[in-house]
Parts: sequence; C-alpha cells; structure tokens
Amino acid sequence: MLQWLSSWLREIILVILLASFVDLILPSNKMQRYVKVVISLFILMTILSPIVSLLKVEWDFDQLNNQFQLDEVSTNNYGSMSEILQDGEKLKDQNEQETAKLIQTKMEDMIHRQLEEQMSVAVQSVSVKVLFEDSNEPKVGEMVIVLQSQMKPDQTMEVAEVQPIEQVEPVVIDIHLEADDATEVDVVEEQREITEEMKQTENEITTFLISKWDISSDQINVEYEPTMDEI
Amino acid sequence: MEIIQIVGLGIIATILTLVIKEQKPLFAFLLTVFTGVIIFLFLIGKISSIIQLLEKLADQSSIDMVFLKTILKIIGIAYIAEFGSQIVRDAGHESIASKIELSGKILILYMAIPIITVIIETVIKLLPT
Repeated sequence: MLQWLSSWLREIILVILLASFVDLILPSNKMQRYVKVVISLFILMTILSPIVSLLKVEWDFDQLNNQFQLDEVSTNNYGSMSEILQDGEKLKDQNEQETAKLIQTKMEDMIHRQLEEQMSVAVQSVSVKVLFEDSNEPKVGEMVIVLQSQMKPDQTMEVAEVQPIEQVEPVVIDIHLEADDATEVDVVEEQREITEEMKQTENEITTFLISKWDISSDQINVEYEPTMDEI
Repeated sequence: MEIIQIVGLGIIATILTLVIKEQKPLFAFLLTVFTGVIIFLFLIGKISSIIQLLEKLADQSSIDMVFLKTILKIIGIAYIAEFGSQIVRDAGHESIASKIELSGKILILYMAIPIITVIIETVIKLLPT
C-alpha cells in the first residue's frame, strides 16, 4: 500500500517536473497557452491514474466472493501466520536443546580423555554446560571438572606397598599445654601442603583447557572429590 | 561559446539583409530564412540532449511513452509554426502568418485528443449511471 502510494507520488512529481521543463523550452508566443493546456491535462491524467486503473478493472463479484471463501478455508486449515511462526520457534528451541545435549556429551568425553592422557590426572567426572546465545552459535557456559583426590591410583598403590607397617611405638602421653598447640600447627601445615599441590594441578588443568578449548578461566571450575577422611 | 557565433551570424545576416533589401527584396527574404535554418541546425545537438533528459524523466515516472511522444510533437509543432509565422510576418504578409499560427494551434489540439478522451471517459465513468 505504502509502496503504491510512493510510486504514485513519484509519478506526479516527475510529471510536474517534466511539464516545467517543457514550459521552459516553449517558444514565448501565442502557442504557449495551447501547449500549457495540453500539459496540464496530462498532469491531471497522471493524478487521476489510480481511478483510471480502478475503473478499467471489471469487478466480478461472484469471483471475489469465491476468493474470499477460499481465503477463509485456507486460514482454518493452516492457522494464522503467528501460530506458524510460534510452531517454528518451538521447533527451533527443541533443536537447539538437542544439539546442546549432544555437544555436552561429546565435549565431556573428549575433555575426560585429554586430561587423563596428557595431564595424567585421575578425573572423576566432567560436566560441560553448552548455551545457545543470540547469535545461534553454541557457546561453552561453564565447565566443572571433578578430580579424584589421590593423584593417581597406581601411585597410591605403590606408596601403600612400599611403606611397611611400622611397629607401633609405645605411646607416651605427656600432658602439656604447649604440646597441644604444636599438633594443631602440624595439622594446619599438612592441609596447606595438600591445598597448594591441588592448586598447582588446578592451574595446570585450567591453562591446558584454555589452550585447548579457547575459553576463559572463570568458566572453568576444578573441584576435588571429597576424600574418605574428609567425610 | 556558441552563443557568440550565433549572435555574430545573426548580426552579419541582418546587415546583409538591410543592404540587399533596397535592390532585391526576394534575396533578402531568402537570406533571412537560411539564417534561421542555420541557427536551428546549430542548436540541434543541444535540443537532442534536452529531449533525452525529458525521456529519462518520463521513463522514471513510468509514463506511457505514447504521451511523451505527444508532448514532444506538440513542442515541435509550436516551434515550427512560430518560426514560419515570424518569417512570413517579416516578409510583410500578416494574414499568411496568422494562418500558419492557426494551423499550429489546431494541430496541437489534435495531438491532445487521446489525452482529452481518456480524461472525459474517466469523469463520465465516475458519475453514477
């Protein structure tokens, strides 16, 4: 509708321009009146052109009625445009979810294998969240890697084998106020050692994943499986 | 600088006409006609570019080319009738000049017949029968 209006207006403007040009190149005498009348008729016809085209069409009312009924039937069958669009949107969402699930399982598997092969750490589980951004491209939202608290099962086994069971020395209990403090300090130190070691491996894993998967460090979350002691 | 050439040609032709008019008025008339034709020929190239501009305008406004041809013919008729009537009037035959003008007017209206019919038809169809 708007397009038709703009084309009609453009036509009128161009015809008036044309008329003014013709008026400019006319000889400046008695002929001018006659030519001006003809050109003004021409402009009038251009302005009336929509009415002319309307009158040219022979309106067949039966046909129009049939067409109207057909339109109604088609709307009943297929639903309105907005419904179709909604359906399309739903299908798209479903598709995206399926894709995200597939990508998640694949990525989890791959990261699990990579970490075990190249970093030689025992991985308990890997969970990756894949999100669909506005750009319709899947993006890695968050990555949670749960490591086993022992460094490697075979290493711990070795340690277990090598260490002979020492004889239990007689326990001498000296009750001092100072001794209590000392044991506490020891425990704290032990914990710190462990956490430092853990931090190092965490950092290694994070850098490895960043270099491999092109994600930022705050998306990676490395956790340790709670050990039996802690429980 | 074609305007200088044209004005120079016109002035020279006028002087020659004034000189000859005393002895041979017929040759003076012929000289006037030829001068007019030569000036027209000078301008033909420019006129063609103006007509091309008009055609471009008509093409953009999606006007029927038949109507544009009608307009161009009307302009041509106006020019030629003007030219002829002026020369004849210079020669001192006012009555023939006015006849040429009359024929020019009638031909212009004759050219406008298709446009006028379309408008009249539209108006009649708009009225309830």
